Amino acid sequence: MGQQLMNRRSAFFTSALLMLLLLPCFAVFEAPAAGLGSENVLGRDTQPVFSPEMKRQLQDRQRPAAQMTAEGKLSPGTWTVKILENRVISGHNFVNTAQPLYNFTLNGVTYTFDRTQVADPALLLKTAVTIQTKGAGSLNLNDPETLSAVKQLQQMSNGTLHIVSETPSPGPGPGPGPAPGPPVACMPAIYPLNGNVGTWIFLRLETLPASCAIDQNPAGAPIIGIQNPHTSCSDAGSKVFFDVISGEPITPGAGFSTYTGVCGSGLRAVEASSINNQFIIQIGATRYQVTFSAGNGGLQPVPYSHFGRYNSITVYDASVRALP
Amino acid sequence: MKKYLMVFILLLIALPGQAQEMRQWSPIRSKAHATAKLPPGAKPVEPSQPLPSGTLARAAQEIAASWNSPDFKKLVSGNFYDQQRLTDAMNTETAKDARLKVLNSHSASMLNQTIVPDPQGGHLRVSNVSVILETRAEFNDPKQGFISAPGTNEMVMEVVEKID
Repeated sequence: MGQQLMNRRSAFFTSALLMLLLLPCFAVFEAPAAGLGSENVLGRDTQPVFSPEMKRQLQDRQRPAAQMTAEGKLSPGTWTVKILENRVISGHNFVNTAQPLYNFTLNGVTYTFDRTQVADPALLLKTAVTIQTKGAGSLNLNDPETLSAVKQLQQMSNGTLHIVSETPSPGPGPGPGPAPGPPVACMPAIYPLNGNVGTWIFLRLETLPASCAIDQNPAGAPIIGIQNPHTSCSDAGSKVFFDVISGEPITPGAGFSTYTGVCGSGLRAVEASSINNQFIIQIGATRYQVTFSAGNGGLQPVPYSHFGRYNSITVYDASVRALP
Repeated sequence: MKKYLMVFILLLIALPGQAQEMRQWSPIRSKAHATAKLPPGAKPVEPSQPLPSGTLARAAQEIAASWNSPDFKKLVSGNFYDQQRLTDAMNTETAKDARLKVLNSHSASMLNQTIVPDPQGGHLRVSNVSVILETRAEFNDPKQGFISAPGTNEMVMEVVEKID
């Protein structure tokens, strides 16, 4: 009798065990039906307010296009999706806002202008390219027609267009003047500056083009410092700060701006992109063109503020030259 | 006694393991959710309502399809920081033949959800959703040949639904 009871108990527990093991399997088979049912019955896609066209789209598993009612209102049940912010985690950032002042070179002639000061930068750029191609691949500033077009460009750029001729224009005429001095080929050192955060690159202007000697305690010579912002400065990811040591008065040229934000107030700054950054300043009677390369570096720490940009930047390959 | 214990343990394991539970999408709270500044007249939705099925996936495909084309601007919110600058950068710095592919869409989390009055009348439900996209940009460089640039981005999408 006792043995029989034990066998019954054993059979009961075995059955219970099998049921429990099979329970998730039933749930798996059940789930798709429940999912489809909820999608068909409860989803807003099937609200009766939709037009036949929208219903057809839904039946075809397409996203219903946002439809306007006769009163110009978005019909209920439709939605739109837009990008609000972006933060690169690794690799390529396909929503990169880094765009400095415009700077492009065509056949040895470099054009720069401040996008923020130009009403229609795209039109200006297109016009410049048109002039370039019209001149059989070269910009002939001795040609009155071309020169007139260039003046028109300068007007379009609201006075911010600068044309840097890499090769002197031959022959007499109202050319751009003497050729600029050769660019300084040097590898600027990088070191921290007391009283500032981040890393600075210093370029000595006085000794052009012989030296780009780095001197942490410059005496007299105007030296440009380019700084990559400190990583705690969360909205400075596309700015590069610069300053001129030794108290020389400077006149800002293209690309110059004054930064006011969480990193500080009234800082001299230039917009930076991943390639071909440059700005022009005037010290005394001499204009200097500073070029540097910059790459986005670190990520915003967590918690970060969603500004869709980096909070640090790497500056390298800086050079400076005197303009005529 | 051991069998009773085993059945009890199996019950604990099996009951929460139903497949229907696995299919639920629960919003993950974040700091941004708590600290978000709401626009005037906006009312937070608590708890957040899940988005219509497939909304983000379709949006990601639309973004990829329109990237590097004039249509891309339509997919960028007016509140995107320096929207014009992004468009300019795309016009001037991105290769004309560059195309974007969305390889994968990782985790998505609802940052906040509010109901705001629609200027046209009625109400809109605005959801800010963070989604991590794995993408790859492909283009031909005149000097380096075919370029494949993979990247992982966290994107905050603004989903606006007309609710009434």
